[in-house]
Amino acid sequence: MTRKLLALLTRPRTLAQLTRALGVEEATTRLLLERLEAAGYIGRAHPESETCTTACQVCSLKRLCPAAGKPAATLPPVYRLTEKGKKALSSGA
Amino acid sequence: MSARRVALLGNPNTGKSTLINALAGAQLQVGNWPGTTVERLLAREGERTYVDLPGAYSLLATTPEEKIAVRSLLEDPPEVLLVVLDAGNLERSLPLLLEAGELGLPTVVALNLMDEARAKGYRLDPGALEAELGVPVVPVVASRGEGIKALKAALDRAAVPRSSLAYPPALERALRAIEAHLEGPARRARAALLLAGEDLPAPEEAREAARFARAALFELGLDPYLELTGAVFARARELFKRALKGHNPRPTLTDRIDRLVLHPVLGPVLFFLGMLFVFRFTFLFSAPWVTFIGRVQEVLAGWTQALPLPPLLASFFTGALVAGVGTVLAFTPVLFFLYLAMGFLETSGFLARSAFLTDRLMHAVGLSGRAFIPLVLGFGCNVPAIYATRTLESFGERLKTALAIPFMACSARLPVFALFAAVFFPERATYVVFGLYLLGLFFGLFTAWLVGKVAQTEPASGVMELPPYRWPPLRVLLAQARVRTRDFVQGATGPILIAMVLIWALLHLPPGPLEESLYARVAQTLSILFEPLGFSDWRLVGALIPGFVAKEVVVGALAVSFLGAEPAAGLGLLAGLHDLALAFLAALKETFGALFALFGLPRLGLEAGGSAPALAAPLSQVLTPRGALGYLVFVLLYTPCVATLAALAQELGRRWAAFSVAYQLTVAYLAALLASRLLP
Repeated sequence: MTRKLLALLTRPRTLAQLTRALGVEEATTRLLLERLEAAGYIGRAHPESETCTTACQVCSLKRLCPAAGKPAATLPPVYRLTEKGKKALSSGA
Repeated sequence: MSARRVALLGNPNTGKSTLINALAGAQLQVGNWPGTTVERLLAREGERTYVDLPGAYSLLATTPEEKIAVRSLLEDPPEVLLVVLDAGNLERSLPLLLEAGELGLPTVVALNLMDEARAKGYRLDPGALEAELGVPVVPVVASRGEGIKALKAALDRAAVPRSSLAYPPALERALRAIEAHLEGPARRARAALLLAGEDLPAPEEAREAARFARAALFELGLDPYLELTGAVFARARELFKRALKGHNPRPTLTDRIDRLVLHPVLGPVLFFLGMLFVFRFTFLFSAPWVTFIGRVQEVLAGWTQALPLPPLLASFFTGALVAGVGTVLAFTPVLFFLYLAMGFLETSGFLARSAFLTDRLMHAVGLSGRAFIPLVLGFGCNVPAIYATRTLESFGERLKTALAIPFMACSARLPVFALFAAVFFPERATYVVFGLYLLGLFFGLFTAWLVGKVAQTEPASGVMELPPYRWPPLRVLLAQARVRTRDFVQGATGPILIAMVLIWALLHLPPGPLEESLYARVAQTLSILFEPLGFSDWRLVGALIPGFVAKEVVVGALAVSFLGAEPAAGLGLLAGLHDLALAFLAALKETFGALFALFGLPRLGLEAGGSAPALAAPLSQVLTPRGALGYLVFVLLYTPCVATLAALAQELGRRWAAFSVAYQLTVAYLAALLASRLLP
C-alpha cells in the first residue's frame, strides 16, 4: 500500500482520487500521507507561510485573501515525492 | 488474578481521558511525564491503576508524545494494554493496534465512540474483530458510560494478540536475526523498530544486526520502513473489512459534482464551456456601460470646449485627460464583470479543479497541474502570478512557469482586445477575445515545453486537497469585484496619467501638425517594421511604445493620438445632462436585455458597435480587420510590462528577464505576421 501510494503521487491527484485508488477510507489515506511525510518520503510542496507573506506584498488581492499577512496560510497542503521517496520508488522490488 | 497496572493507548482524540474517567470515577491524578511537559493522567480504582499514555498514531514515533508512549511501553510495560479505538474512524485506528500487538502484551480493545460510528452510518461487528485478533473487543460509549462494566470484566480476560502481519520472507528473516540479539519482553516489536531505523536502547549486537539487515534489504529493493508500514496498513484494511457489516454513506454534493467536473472527457468540455460563458457574461454585461462611459467622455469634452479656455489648455483637457485617461477608464466595466465572473469560479471551488482538468495537457508540456494556478492568476495580473510560482517545487518548474506567465493575457490588455474586437469583429467579439486568451495560453505552454526541453527539467508530482464546492454570496462577489477593479484603477491611474501627459506633450512638440511632432516621427520610423503585420499607421505603432511601461496605456495612447487632434463641439450644461440621462437609461435597459441574451444562443456576439467608443471611426479608417488581428496578436504577446520584468528578474535573475524580453518580441512579431495572413 505504501509503494502504491508513492507511485500514485508521481502525478497530481486529489485526496479523494488517492483514497479511491487505494481502496481505503479518506482518514486512512490522510494518516498514511502524514506517516510518509514524517518519515521523509514525501514533503509539502511549499512552506505556505513563507510563500504567502512574501507574495502578499505585491498581490493586489491581499485585502480579500483570508491568508494574507498571517504567519501560516490556510492553503491546503500539497504533498510531493522527496528524493528519498523517488529513490524508494525506483528501487522497489 | 486482576490486573494491577493498565495502560491506555490510542490515537489522539479517541476519548481516552473520558474512558479513564468512566473506568476510575473521580480518582484522577494529573501530572507530567518525567522530563517533559506532556500531561500524564493517572487514575486508581482499588488495587488497579490506569495510566493514560500520550496519544499516538504509530510506534514508529515522530512526535514527542509518541516517543513517550513508546518509551513507556518498552521500558515499563503494563500488565494489560488497553487499546482504545475510534469506532467512527476504525480503519485509521487499527494500524496502532496492530503495531502494539507486536509488543506481546496481554491486550484488551475498547471500541469507543460507537455512537459516532452509528451516526456516520457504520455497522460494526466487534465479535469479528475479536475472532481475528484473539483478544477481547468491547464496544463502548465512554461519554455515556455504556459498555464500561463489560470492559472492566474484559480486563481480566486480556490475551496476547495473534500476530497476523504478513511481511515479505526476507523481512521476516531479518526480524528473526535481530530478535536473536535481544532479550526481555517485546523482542519482536523492538526488532521491527530497529529494522525500520528507529534509535532504541539495545545491545550493540542487535543494532549491528539491524544495520546489516537494512543494508541487505535495500540491496534487494526492499525499504524496511515502507514494507513494515505497508504490511500494517494492508492488514488494517483487511480487519476493517471483516468488522464492517454495513456502511451506506451518502456521497456529498461535492463528490457528486466532482464526478462530472473531474471526469476525464466531460470535465475539460465543461471547463471550456464555463470559461466561454465567463467571457460571454463579461462582454454582454459590460458593453452597455462601456458605451455609457464613452458618452460621458463626449459630454465632458463638449463641456470643456464650451469653457473660455486658451486653445492649448482646452486641447490638454480634451486630448490628454478626457480622451486619454477616459478611454482607459471606459473599460473598467469590462474588468468589473470579468472579476465578478472569475470571483465566482474562484470562490465556488471550480477554479481549483482546473489544475486537475488541465493535468494531462500540463504534463504534455512538462508542467504539473499545480502550475496551472499561477498561469490562471496571470490572467488577472502577471506580477503576483510570477511570485506565485514560488509554490512550485523545483527551479526548473518555476522557470518554465514564470516564463510562460507573461503570455497570459492580463487584465491590462483587455481594453485593447475589447476595443479592437468591438470595432473590427462586432459579431464575433466574444470569440475573438476568448481566442486571444487561448492563443496566449498556447504560447505560454509552448514556451514551458521549449524551456523544459532545453533545460531538461522534469515535471513535479503531488497530491492536492480540493476545497468543497460553495455557493458564493452575491454580496461577497460584488465586494471582491469592486475592490479588484478599484485596485486596478488606483494602480493604473498614475502611470496612465503620466504617460498621457507625456504623449500629449510629445504630440505637441514642436508646435504644429501632429504628423510632424516628435512622437509621430519616432513612431513613423518604427512603423516600417510593422508594415508586414498589416498595420503601419504611426499612431498605432506609437501606442505600442508606452505599452512597454504598462499595457494599460495602449488604449489611452491611441485615444490621445487619434482623438486629441479632433476638436469636440461645445456642449451646454443642460444638453449634456440630458444626453447623460438618456445614455444611462439606455445602459440600464441593455443590461436587463443582457440577462436574456446571456442564454440566447442565436445571439452569441456583441451587438454591432454596441461597445465601440469614439475611437471606432478613426480606427476603421486606418486599419483593416486583417491588420487589427495582427495588432491584437502583437499586443497579446509582446514584451511584458516593467513590473512583470522586475518580478521575473527577482525570481529568475536578470538574464532570464532579458531573455524573456527578446524571446517575446520575436514570438509576438512572428505570430502577428502569421495572424495577419489569416484574413483576406
